[in-house]
Amino acid sequence: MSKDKDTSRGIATNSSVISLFPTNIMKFKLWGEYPHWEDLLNDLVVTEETEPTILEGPGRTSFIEDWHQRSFLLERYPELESIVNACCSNYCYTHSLEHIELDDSWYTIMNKGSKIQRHRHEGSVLSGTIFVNVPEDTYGLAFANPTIPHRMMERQNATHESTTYAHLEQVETGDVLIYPSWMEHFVPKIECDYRATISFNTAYPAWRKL
Amino acid sequence: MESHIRSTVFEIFPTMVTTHDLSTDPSFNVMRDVVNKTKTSEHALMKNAESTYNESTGNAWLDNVLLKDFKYLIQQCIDQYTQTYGLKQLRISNSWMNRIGLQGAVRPHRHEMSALSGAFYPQAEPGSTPLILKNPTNSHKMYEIHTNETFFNAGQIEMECTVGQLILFPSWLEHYTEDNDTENRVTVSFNTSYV
Repeated sequence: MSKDKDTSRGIATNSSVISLFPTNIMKFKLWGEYPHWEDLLNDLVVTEETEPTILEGPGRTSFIEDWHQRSFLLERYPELESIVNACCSNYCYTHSLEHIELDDSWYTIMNKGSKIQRHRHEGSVLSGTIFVNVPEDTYGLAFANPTIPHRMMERQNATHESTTYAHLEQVETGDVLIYPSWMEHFVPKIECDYRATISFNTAYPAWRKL
Repeated sequence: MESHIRSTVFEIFPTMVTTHDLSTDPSFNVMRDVVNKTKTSEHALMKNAESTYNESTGNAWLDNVLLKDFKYLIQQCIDQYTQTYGLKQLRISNSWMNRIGLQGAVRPHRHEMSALSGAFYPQAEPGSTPLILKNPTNSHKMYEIHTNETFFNAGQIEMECTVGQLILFPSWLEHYTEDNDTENRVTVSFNTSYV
């Protein structure tokens, strides 16, 4: 909330700007916490792949659409899985969310000319993206503004954080972004090779067994 | 929870609401006199309450010649909002007055065909029911269980109504009141259109 006293036109009104109902994403810097990023990348490029669905263009992924056959990639890297679990707990604590556990996880390697369609992660509480390799001049993750459909009467003449169509969060190798699974996100077409990520979903422990 | 991992929280896509204290402006007292002399009648959107709002008329309560200075004051606040928010210039398109008594309430609604709306409180005894703004992202959150309510996960936010305070909010933002516990809570509301 910011306060402002406007006396520019002879009026005196104590004004406050209140930013209500934001959607929160968290970024964790794991570069120094997990020392095996290069090994992980080398591992991913030879890991079995699946038929891409939302990944368009040159690249590979282990994402499985059928949720009965999920890939649980992070279970192969227990040290990283443990750190990411701690990050999820931190998000839950910070945002008063009930405790969650890691659920499915998969890798995506994007090469020049590829993009990821706008999507959300149904059946998950929080989702996250671990940036295993981020070449220079590539994109992080773009989040779509969930309030845009309401703004049919708004004609802007300048940009504002409330009205922008998408928020592009830039990242570095070793970053983890955690966000509500319902929040739509995408990756614009990239112009480099080997943008490598591991994405994950989460669930409430009791619900995982359903 | 203690953690040595560096982390940052980004609060993105907020909904901008502003409040303005107009109680010290000389036009405020003139405006209160007009409020006291205004006749109101029942309206379908409200319970145990009355309004000047009439679907078949222009609803130009703030166009009363005695309210010229006060309307100008509100326009300054609208200009401040649009400049901060990056909206094209707006002016008041229609306006009306609501009077809510004991156990009176306004049902959830939004203001179609308007960009920015406002609620001003010329009269509000202490304990008057607040304006409640509903979180526009509620419909997305089918899978979140919260351990306690915070500013960030709240499904709605209560805006206390204080005498002399103007609240500006996007017209698409759904809002309402619970039952009022005071005898006389008066609101002057308005919509806007582009110049």
